[in-house]
Amino acid sequence: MLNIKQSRREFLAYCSKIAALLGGGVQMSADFAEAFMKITQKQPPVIWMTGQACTGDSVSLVYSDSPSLVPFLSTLIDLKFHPALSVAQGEVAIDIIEEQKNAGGYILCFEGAIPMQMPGACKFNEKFLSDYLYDVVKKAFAVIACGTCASYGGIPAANPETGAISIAEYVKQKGLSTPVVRIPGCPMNAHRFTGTVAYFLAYNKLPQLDEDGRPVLYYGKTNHDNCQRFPYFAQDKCLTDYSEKSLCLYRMGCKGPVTKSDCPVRRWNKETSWCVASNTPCVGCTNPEWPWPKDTGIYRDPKKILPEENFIQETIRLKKI
Amino acid sequence: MAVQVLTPITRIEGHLSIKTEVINGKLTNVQSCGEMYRGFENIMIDRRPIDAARIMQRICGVCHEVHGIAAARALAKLYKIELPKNGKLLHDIILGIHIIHDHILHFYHLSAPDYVDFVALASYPGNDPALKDAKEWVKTVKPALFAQKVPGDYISEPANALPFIVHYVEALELLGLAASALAILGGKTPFCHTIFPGGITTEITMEKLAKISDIVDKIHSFVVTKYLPDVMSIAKLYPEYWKIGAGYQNAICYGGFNSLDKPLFTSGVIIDGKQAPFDKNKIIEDIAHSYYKGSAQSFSTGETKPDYDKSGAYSWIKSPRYDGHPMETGPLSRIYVNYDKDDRLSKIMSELKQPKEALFSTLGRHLSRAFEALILGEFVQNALSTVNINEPTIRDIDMSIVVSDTGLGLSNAGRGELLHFIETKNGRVSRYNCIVPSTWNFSPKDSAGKPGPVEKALEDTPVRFEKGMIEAGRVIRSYDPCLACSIH
Repeated sequence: MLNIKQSRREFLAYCSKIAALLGGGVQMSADFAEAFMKITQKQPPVIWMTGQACTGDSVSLVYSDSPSLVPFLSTLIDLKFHPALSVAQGEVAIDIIEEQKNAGGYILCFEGAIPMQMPGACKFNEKFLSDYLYDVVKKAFAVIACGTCASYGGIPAANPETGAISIAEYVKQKGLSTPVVRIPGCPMNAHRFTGTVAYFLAYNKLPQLDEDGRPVLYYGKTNHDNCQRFPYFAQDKCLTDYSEKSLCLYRMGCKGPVTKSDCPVRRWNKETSWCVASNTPCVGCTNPEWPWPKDTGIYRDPKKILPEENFIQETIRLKKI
Repeated sequence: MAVQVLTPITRIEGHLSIKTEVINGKLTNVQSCGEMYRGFENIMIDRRPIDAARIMQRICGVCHEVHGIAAARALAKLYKIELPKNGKLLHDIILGIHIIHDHILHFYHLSAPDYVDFVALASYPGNDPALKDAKEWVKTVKPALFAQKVPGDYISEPANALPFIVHYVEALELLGLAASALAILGGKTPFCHTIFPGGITTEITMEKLAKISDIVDKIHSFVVTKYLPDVMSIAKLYPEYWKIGAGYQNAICYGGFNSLDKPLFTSGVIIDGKQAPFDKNKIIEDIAHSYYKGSAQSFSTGETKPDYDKSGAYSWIKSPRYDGHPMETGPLSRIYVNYDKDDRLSKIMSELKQPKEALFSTLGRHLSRAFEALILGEFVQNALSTVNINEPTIRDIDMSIVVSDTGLGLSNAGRGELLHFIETKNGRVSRYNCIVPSTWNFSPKDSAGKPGPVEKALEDTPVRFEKGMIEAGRVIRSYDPCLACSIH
């Protein structure tokens, strides 16, 4: 529960910080504070688990600054188990998970993919993860798919050997009814995660999701729509060599036009930068297609992407909208 | 005696289990089991080589920038391009900042809970608002994350425990700062997308360099005034760990941080107490007890053919060997091979009344890591002041070239020495091989029956507490295990 010893002023300041995460800005904070005040339930218990993962989504959360990790843990969620943070290990750690599993009603944050064809490719507690996970998902109140692997399969699914699938697909294949929120990104941007959790706490419901299961708040538009270099695209001024530092990156293979995400406005790591601002094309890491089929690839020969292609594709895209 | 399994091993990256017997209160017949496979090397097959810079980067989200740099180096060799001076410097700066922050994360957030009882925060007497809030939280909620630990001999006296806990919270802020320094150069982190074979795409300005330098100063000051002294405090409180976890005492260092006039690390190996030059052709990967088909191969001929049902196999990790020897790699191996270059470490060792050889131990690994963070901070500051903003930051590769060749990228990572090898045919990848630090350290037995370095180091570790094997956890974490890396 929120620290009741905090003064109302401090509390409002905190809410405005959280509200900013939701894209609503400061004016939303009063509404937000009221919503928070109404909540009488305890902080929701959370279990964090990883499958075929790299822990990059957890690391992204550790870097988070609004709120930073300790206040997030002490005021918003009750994180019972995290493989990289828990002080417990071995059977003591398993006891914590089992106890929660019996109690039910927790949020499961899941990072990585699940190998279904070669279950031995990921084990947890001496069992195949694909088996162990069933009850953990079933008893959860909701699942947050942290990152692109958990959302769509991501890089592990690019290898057919293990039959890696996302947690969302797992829920479907197993015929479970636990709701899943996807926070794609390679890694997940921590703001989108903490913001989704804050929304849930404030309104006691999940935020509106798009047809791909992502919060519309963060994935409503393409990177292209908000790109600071859009004027160069419109004028067909594209760079074909990285020694040029300011033009449109379309011809270098930029996936901004087909990738839904708010990177250009949200930015990364204390709002320091984002890929295009650092003169590198969007690779579409939040895209369900990430890391893209072998033939398409991530980057292309700029000489082979004709400038007029921009306009043709843009026209087709605008017609679709 | 029944086999006991320590699983899950937390506060590491990924899925590691240890199988062991306990005879006369000591670990015996230890097996290190890597339990998660994705097949990165096979994902690269038939793709355009340049994709390696983005895909192989994702091997690990903890040691995030290291695979991007190693892949970029392999690609630069493949395309035969020479990096501009700034390109080399900026790659080293990214790697340096990443490794320093990774060492801090490892000590405070992954390892310190093996020694310190975090519930001691309940008696925090200070006035820092964030810590006061955290104190209330620990006092009233007793969060499972920090309170439910395995039995053990923890530091719980508030006067001794509090510095570690206060620094845990302070270090979190520093990690965020380090991440923003990496984002200035890389667009975002984890996974800087600006890293290319010929340098980085980012425009470099004096303002950006000054911001990074300011952050590196803050981190460096933390390393000097807190990290290194805290490691020395642990060493004084747990002197038995100078003996526990020694291992083979073989070490391998590829050399690195070559972008300034003199390399920070010179390559070399230590085998049976003797130092010798490093020869990359002596590296092979054995798979006798790993879940793969095939036989021991070099990095240029190796394949990855998973076979989970293989008889006698118990790990997804392969077994790299150097001239037949299991080798330890990490900050320890780099520091040990280069011990005579800097007399500050020998002074610290004399203060702690330990010989150089004692570095091969649980405590020696922590100390080497902290010392490496210190010298890398100095390196990064020098490198930042050497970047010339009027010169190019990158040399592009010609994407129209259909290349059929090979490229080897040797690099350093927080957890030791890193190798990426790429082979292409008609412009598409035909083979990719990575030999990663935790592959060396956490490897299973080889075909000669020799246990891997950590298996050896765990042998005879005392077990004094019935539940949870705290001592084993300390030895394992001294290597900073990264399982996503080790198997990839």
